[in-house]
Amino acid sequence: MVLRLACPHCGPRPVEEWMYGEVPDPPDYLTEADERDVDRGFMMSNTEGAKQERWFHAGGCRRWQTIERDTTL
Amino acid sequence: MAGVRLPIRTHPLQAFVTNHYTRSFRPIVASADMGFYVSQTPRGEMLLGSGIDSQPSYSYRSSYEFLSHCSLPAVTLLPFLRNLTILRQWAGVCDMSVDMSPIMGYTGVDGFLVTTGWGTWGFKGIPAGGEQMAELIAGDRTPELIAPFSLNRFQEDRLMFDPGSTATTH
Ligand SMILES: Cc1cc2nc3c(=O)[nH]c(=O)nc-3n(C[C@H](O)[C@H](O)[C@H](O)COP(=O)(O)OP(=O)(O)OC[C@H]3O[C@@H](n4cnc5c(N)ncnc54)[C@H](O)[C@@H]3O)c2cc1C
Ligand SMILES: [Zn+2]
Repeated sequence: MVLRLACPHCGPRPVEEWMYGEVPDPPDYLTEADERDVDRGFMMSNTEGAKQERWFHAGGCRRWQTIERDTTL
Repeated sequence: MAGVRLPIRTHPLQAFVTNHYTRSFRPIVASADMGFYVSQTPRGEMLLGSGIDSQPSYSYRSSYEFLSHCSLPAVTLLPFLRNLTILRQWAGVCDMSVDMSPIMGYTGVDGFLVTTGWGTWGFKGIPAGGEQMAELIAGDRTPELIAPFSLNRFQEDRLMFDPGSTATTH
């Protein structure tokens, strides 16, 4: 079964309609400005489990939505 | 756990095989434009695949959408494929790096090295990559061949476009 994301505006829609937007999340233990910039630009938490994500519903309402998803399902 | 941040995201990659095709099909046909590849296994099955699923995920789910997405260009280019039946479909997960090139070497944490980011093309590069990593571990010095692939390339703003790995198709 294809993954469906629940759009607050359009209801559950197949992932093919969406574009994923990575949200930078530098950890608190990085304190130097340069380190934080590198982290924001390139590094990713690559979370295994539930997390909040940003998705652009390109094939629907064409709005950015915040969606909670479990990356193991 | 080691507190090492990586420019890596995990994405599923799917593939499928058809039933036995009675004729012999020698080439591997791949089209970056049409986004699919096909070859024949030693058992005569036709093996087809495409790019990664767009969602970051650790799930091994496979989808009908992938089958239709991959089959359309395949039967367009090789019409004989439409007479075959799909036997099996599966997914694996691939570590995709920001610049689609592998990352090998030291991490800044003593005694903790990485070889990752092999993406969708890891089988081909890893024999050389593994040998070089072994040399690095045994020799305490980064071999020239893999030096450009170090993790600190992101700090140093020297992203790669490695033609031997997934970067070729991006
Ligand atoms: C469908 C499909 C088709 C592909 N086709 C091709 C192809 O035609 N040509 C090609 O070159 N490449 C292909 N690849 C890509 C290739 O499989 C990968 O690039 C390669 O397997 C990467 O090797 P790796 O050792 O870096 O990572 P992986 O093979 O992903 O190995 C990582 C290992 O780490 C283990 N692991 C994870 N977390 C932990 C933990 N916490 N503790 C202990 N162990 C852990 C995992 O179980 C796994 O065994 C394909 C991949 C897929 C999924
Ligand atoms: Zn929507």
